[in-house]
Amino acid sequence: MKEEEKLKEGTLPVARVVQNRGTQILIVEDDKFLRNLIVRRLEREGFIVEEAVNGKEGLEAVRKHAPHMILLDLLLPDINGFDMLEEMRKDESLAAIPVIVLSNLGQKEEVERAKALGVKDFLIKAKYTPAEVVARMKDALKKAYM
Amino acid sequence: MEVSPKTKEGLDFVQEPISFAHSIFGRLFISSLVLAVVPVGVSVFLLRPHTFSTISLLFLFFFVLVFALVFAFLLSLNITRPIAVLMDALRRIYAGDFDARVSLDRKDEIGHLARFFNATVEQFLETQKRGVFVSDIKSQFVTVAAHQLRTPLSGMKWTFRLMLDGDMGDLSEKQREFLQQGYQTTERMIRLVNDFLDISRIEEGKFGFHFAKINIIDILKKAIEASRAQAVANTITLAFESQIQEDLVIIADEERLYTAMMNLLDNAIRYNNPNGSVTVTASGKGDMLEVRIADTGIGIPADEQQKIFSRFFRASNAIRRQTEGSGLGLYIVQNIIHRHGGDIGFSSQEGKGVTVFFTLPVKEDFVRKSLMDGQTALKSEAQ
Repeated sequence: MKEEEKLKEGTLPVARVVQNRGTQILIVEDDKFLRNLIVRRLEREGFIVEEAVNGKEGLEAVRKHAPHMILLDLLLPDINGFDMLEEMRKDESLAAIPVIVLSNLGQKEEVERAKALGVKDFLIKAKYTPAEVVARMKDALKKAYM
Repeated sequence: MEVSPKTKEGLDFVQEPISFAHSIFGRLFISSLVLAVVPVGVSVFLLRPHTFSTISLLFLFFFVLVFALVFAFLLSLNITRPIAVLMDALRRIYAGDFDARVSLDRKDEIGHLARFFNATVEQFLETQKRGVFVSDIKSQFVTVAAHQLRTPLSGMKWTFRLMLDGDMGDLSEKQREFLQQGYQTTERMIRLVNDFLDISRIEEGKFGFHFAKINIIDILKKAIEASRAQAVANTITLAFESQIQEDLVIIADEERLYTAMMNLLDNAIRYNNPNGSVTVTASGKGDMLEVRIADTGIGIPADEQQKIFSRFFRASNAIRRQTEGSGLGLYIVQNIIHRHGGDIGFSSQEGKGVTVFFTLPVKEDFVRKSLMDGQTALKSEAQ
């Protein structure tokens, strides 16, 4: 995809991505406790974090901040994760942003549906620790931007 | 209801020939025969010795026979034909064609039977439709329930994890120990929710498998490493001995086998005695790979060994010990091993421990055959 190539040559100097400074992450999660845990963890590592509690806010945040990576929950109050992904796909520049799904749904149909919508990784919250989530996220960032 | 109409017994019963003496036609024939013979015989006897030569007697005999035959036949037609129609409809329903209906417009008992038959089939279809509807709702419920349970559970898991990883400041040894226990309990709870979800999917036949070529030793080692923390916490030593080549590749579902191993290791550790051990061995037995998991734990009482693989069953000594367990683990493991084309068994003596052993086919064509039977998907290697 052309947009993804643009990301690689992108506006962010490689060095800054590697040191995690200036990298903007959007987290879309309706559970306040979990959201705070992951935001806290990400901020400790030096990421800039934007938060959204539902799909609608998520879309607004994506358009406004153009984050480098999105951590997306699927079951959200109004517009759910899947719908948000589909909306993003309609816009070329939004579709290029790498997304990692962080959900407690785990059935094969859901994983496949998410993968078909272009997500880079599908992590079940109950299976991975925050540290593991951050590690996978960093991997995905490297792959998308370097 | 346990009885499935598709049992062999049912089919045999339907195809058994009915003996002449028992058939409607036969009974009518015999009774017509008697009906005809008795008055004729009596009149012959009363009117003897005059007119009846041997030939006329023979004619009379044939007449009676033919009369009885025709009479019985015509009478029975009235009954056997509609029965044949009903049988035909029933046969179709047995074979799964639920559109079968009987049209016998009669005003007698047979007509009633036909109308009632049709009504019963409609009723059955209604029940079936409702069953599918309920099953759909159940499946939706389970998905939502699992998700709802997992959300607070992941909250707990992450909290413990962040604390144990030092994110919330340094911990004293006692605090660490205590938190570690909390973390393990949460992990167990999460596994339980996963087990419930798996069970429900097994029941519906939606427990999908994705087979691919995998390195079996890798999986065994991964599961053992993942169980190490739990073993250490329970003062159990974990050992792995392999008598097969390191790079052995078999066709299997990596995730499911990993789950199976985790389940078995979890049992081996939990139902073990302090300072005991769990030994995993892998060896080749002809076309099959055999994995044994031996523990030095409380074992399984002889009279309960038969039921150990059934759902929700927990041995009395396990319950008495007040360890936690859902009783679902072995049921799921058995399902996984069987779907791989393997076999699972165990040997145990109460108080001396349990050795669970399972086999997995190594030869490709063997596994492919079981794949055909199980309608599973083979992931392409090009992935």
